[in-house]
Amino acid sequence: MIKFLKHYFVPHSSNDHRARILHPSFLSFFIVVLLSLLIVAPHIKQAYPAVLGVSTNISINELVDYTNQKRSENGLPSLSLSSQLSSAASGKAMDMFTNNYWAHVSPSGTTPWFFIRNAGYNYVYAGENLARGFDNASDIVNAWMASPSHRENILSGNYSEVGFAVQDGSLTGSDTILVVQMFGSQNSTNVAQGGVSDDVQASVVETEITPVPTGVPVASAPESTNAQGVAALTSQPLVDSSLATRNISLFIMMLLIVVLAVELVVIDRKKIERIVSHNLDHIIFLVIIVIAAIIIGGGSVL
Amino acid sequence: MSSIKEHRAYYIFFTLIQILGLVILLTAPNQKIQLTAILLMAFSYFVFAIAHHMMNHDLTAKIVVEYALFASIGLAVVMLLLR
Repeated sequence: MIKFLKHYFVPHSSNDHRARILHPSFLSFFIVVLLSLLIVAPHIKQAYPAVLGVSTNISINELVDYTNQKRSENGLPSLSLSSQLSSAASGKAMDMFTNNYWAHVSPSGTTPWFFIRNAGYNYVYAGENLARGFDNASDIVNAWMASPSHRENILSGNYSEVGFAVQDGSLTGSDTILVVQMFGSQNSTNVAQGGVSDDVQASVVETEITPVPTGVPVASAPESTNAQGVAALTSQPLVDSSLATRNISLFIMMLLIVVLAVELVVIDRKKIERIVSHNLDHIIFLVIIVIAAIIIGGGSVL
Repeated sequence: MSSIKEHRAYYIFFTLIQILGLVILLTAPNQKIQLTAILLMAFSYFVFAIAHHMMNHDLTAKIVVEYALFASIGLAVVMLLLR
């Protein structure tokens, strides 16, 4: 067993003083594994969504609750769920999937206010937060709270109502779960200074998930301002593809980094002369990639 | 470790280039720029490392292959996560 470990993970005379898993044949094997995941996994996901898919559990009830929880922690009144704002949020999400953009203003210049007015909501104040790629409501609200502009929206005293849409689809080349949060207050419910204003505190939060065609509305508020019984986007496949992909990638990267670091120390101590690539070059590059992988995989805020 | 100390300036510069690539990758507004950033990171890693070996007069075909394979692994991981 020790011989086996030495051969594969430590520079030794048996492996020409280069850990076996750092030999080109093994590195090629890792590339094949990663490329297989890149190419084959989407096809399996489409053919067998119950086996391989994205594990998701986002309900609008929870989004409302978490949002109001943050407001109450800051001494602000709760927002009520508005069916009109939820309808506007659905319209915005559909537009983003249809026109393939990830922004507050569409490439053709359509602002969030168009969708709000189009839903029959005559706002005095309005705002929009966007999120993509998260798999639960708590992470979404926490990500918004961690970003000053999103936080400002959630904790604004100008708003009295909120609406949500949760949709999945393909956006800018990635399969994504998109969450649109729209805030507003109308003339009769305005609590702040008053006056008509496009007081837009638009903010966006993102993460990536996986592919499927166009955006289909899977969750939007019911035709009532009551938050009870609103839809949720829930799926529990046998294997969570995004988690599996991330873990396999990180495992390969961490394994290579550790073996390269061990080699660096062992070779230096034993004073072995060999002509190979510089381990420190690889370590620096792989560490940077791991940092990128962790941040990309965990979502980001725009 | 002595060889690392000898080439300290190279490693610092190399790390800064990679960090710059990371910042561009993470702040890119769309996927095209993200993919461009990771391609440039992998390319700069490959070119800098090869140039370093050339300056040290110890570049071999096997070394070139090793850098190409590590660059491919990094590219594959990021593309997998961006998908």
